[in-house]
Amino acid sequence: MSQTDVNVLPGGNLFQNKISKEELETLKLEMNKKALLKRRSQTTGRIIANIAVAFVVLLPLLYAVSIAFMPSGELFSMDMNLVPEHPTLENFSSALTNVPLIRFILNSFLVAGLITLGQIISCSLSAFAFSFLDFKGKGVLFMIVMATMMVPGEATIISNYLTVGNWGMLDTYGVLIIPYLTSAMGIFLFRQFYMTFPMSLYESAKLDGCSNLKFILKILIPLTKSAIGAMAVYTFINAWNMYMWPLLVTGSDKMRTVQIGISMLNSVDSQSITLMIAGVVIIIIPSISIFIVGQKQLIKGMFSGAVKG
Amino acid sequence: MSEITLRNICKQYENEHFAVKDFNLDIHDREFVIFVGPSGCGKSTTLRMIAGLEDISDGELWIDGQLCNYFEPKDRGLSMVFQNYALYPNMTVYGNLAFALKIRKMSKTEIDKTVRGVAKTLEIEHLLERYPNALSGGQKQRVAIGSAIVRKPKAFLMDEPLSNLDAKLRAQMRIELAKIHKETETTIIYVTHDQTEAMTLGSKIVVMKDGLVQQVAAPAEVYNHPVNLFVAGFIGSPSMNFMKAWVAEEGGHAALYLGSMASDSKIILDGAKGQRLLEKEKGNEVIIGVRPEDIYEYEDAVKGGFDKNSINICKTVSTREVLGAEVVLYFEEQDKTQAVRLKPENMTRVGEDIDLYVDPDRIHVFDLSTEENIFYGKEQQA
Amino acid sequence: MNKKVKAKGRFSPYVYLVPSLVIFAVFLFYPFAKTIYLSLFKTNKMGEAKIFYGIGNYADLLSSPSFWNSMKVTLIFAVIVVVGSMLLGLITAVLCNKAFPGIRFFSTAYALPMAIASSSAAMIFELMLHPAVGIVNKLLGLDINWLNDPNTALYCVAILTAWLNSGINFLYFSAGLGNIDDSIYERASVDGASGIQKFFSLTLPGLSPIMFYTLVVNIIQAFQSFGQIKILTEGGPNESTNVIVYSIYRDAFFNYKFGSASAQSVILFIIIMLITLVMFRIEKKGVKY
Repeated sequence: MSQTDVNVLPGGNLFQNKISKEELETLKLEMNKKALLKRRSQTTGRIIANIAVAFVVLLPLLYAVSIAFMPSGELFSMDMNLVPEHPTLENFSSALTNVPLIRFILNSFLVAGLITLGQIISCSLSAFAFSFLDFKGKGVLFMIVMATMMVPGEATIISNYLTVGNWGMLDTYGVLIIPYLTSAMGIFLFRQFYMTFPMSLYESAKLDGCSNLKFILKILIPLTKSAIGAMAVYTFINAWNMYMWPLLVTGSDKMRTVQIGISMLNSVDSQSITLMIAGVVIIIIPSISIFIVGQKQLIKGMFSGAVKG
Repeated sequence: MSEITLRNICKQYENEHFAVKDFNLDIHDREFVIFVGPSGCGKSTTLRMIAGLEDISDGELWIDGQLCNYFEPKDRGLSMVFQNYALYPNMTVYGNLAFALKIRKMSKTEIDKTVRGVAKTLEIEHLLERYPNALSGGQKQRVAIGSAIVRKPKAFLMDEPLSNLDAKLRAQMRIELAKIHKETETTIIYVTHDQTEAMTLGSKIVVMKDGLVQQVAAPAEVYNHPVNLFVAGFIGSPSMNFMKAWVAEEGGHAALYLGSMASDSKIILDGAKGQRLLEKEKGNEVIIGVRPEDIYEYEDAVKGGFDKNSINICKTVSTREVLGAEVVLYFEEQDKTQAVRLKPENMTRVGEDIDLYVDPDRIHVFDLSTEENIFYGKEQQA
Repeated sequence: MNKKVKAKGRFSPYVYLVPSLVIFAVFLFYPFAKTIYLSLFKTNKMGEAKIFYGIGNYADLLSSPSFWNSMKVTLIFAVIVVVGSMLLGLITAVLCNKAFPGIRFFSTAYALPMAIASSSAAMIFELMLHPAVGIVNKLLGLDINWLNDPNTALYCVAILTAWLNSGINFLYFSAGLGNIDDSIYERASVDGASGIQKFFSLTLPGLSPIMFYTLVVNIIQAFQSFGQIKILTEGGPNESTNVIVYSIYRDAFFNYKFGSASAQSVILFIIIMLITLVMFRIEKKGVKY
């Protein structure tokens, strides 16, 4: 460090005699420059590191977008061809016509939307009961609900498949939606939020003649907007990206969700890679847009409060 | 040994706003210096600049004759106690005390000796194995002070260390701090917004407002001779009474007419003080300041020999507070509540009138526009 | 007229739980019990329990090299995924810990993988790893058929999965870093700690509560990866990517061995439960503050 450059002067007030004003000024100017340079280089270093890491993280997506605009003839060459020379929209239009991609997208929107709505309703109702009401077996029931988080989907998926098959529900919207209409995590999240409200909030509402349902609609829901927002973003993205269950229970183009439908592009023929990637880009757009729009909500509702300690 | 000197220290943010401007101060070895002022006055910023946690925009910071503006915090040889204690939550009390020593590669036995010594001084030996979240506020405070002491720094910097404690504990820790200062014989620079802490602890007080130093002096000096209206109002509790008055000459003396020239309430200032007032403000409107304990009843005024100086100051009591050793009466004057501190024998009840007498030696007069104290202002000191 | 009475009438608290509990009962508790039940039987093609086989399915599995291969593959897969995704999440969170120009863009970028479906990601990676035209071979100047080589296939799907899971880890770790009080860093710099000392004695321990939680979530998630394997390798080549979830899928829906598949599901459940319990036991012992 540069401590040694600085004159070491004994005593408190003597320094002004030992170092001339001009010397001091130049020294300060020089040091100011050094400090500024140091700070700047720290920030620059951080930005460079971020650009490098972000490039790696985003590479698959950037690459996909680039290929989606590439004419399929251009892809098959041994040269480096990361960016299309003659960008085209053809891949997108043929992806939309080769398979009923629009239908898949609508299906997914319907399924993910209803799942999100259903989970918010069922979870807030349950969380309300678990936080504000008193009833027999409350503790045990809550434990049971929480324990369901430990059961992996694979432990139930076979039996569920057999069950809905017996009911003749295969290949319907119902079978895609109903099993996912509640979630232990959602109940937990909402309960965490509700527990931060004092019991007196509920009691005073009751004294004012507010029914339970009205209390949920008029007081709890407006107060927990951030939790609901977070839950909505998270649930929608997960439902949109669901794979194994729709793979098992849908058979026809009419019912397929995007994630299953997109694999149909995969098997058409090997020349149509660009077409497949265009399809992938199309179906990634909704989930990414929702994520970017809802990211702030998600972080506020789910990560800053609920995950503490 | 430590001499800390601040020369024209400034803190300027990118939006050109000065958080601290032209801060000048000499801090001598073993002094207990207090930076006091309302929130946002720049006192914490100044402390953090000394610590190296904030960049110094302009000016020089000298520690023991070394220009330290650009030293890393760790190279300045200071230690700091933070407002929220800043204990390392993942370390025991022992670990917290030992952390700075470990970093300095001290031997294990020596660390152990030092830590236990400090723990003994602060009476926290029984807490050494605990984690911070298992401690009460007062205990955390002791650990925080302990981790500052343990390194034997050139100076302690303390940023509102008592503000998170309740009133009783605060009073207790105040006494403790004074003791620690005596025992460790180390310079302390202490930031607070509480004027009581400043008055009781400091050997030197720096009163700040809006990034500017208002007055640097010993507590008694700041109390008795405030340089301006702000310092006068900020230091002291209940705070100084302020009233507007007009200055006129009467029989060679200065007379202060309360409220307006037509008022029949007035205070006569004779002697040098009166001459000074006439010289400066004759015919002007001024602000006068009187501390609640400098107002007396008739008998005491006679004893003090100033019963003739206050004429026709008769007020109706609006509130009465009995504080045991004294009684504080409140009355309205110029739309403000003013306070008088009297002996507990005073029996005036709410609604009753009382004649009041101001000690003319203790009266402060402030210029209406500059708000400087006409008797003790900066101009006079220079 | 009736409305008023209804609004005032007291619903039983259980009414509010009905929607959730019915769904849990029908699609979780019942099938879970049924899975255990099926695991004790030999089934027909329709998945109906036909012959009681006792613990036969389990015994068969434990003596089958294919099952042990699945276990081994799952373990390697899980280790790579968990270590990779947590490391990436941690690095990105630390990079975005201090404010700097562009931080919002970068934090969105780091969290973004959580919004991407495993199937979409798999198809992108399929192209990237394409032996002839893929970017990976081109950039590295290699000629490897990544997904058809038993030596590399597992690593490829694991890295893809680590990438997918890193997004949410970034958010967890960012929240964890945000919970660390800034003033302890300031105190540490006054105390004389260097950046590296601060990271190892303050940042990492400060993250440890969330680290445990994230670790549990990541392990569970890694054990359940399916879509990317189905699309990229279908368990191959040579069963080198036949993780247990894929093995369950194949046994049930291709080989119609529902009994054996159910037994594997139960084993998977037991493994996940044990890991969770052990982790929480360790956490109680390890994190004292």
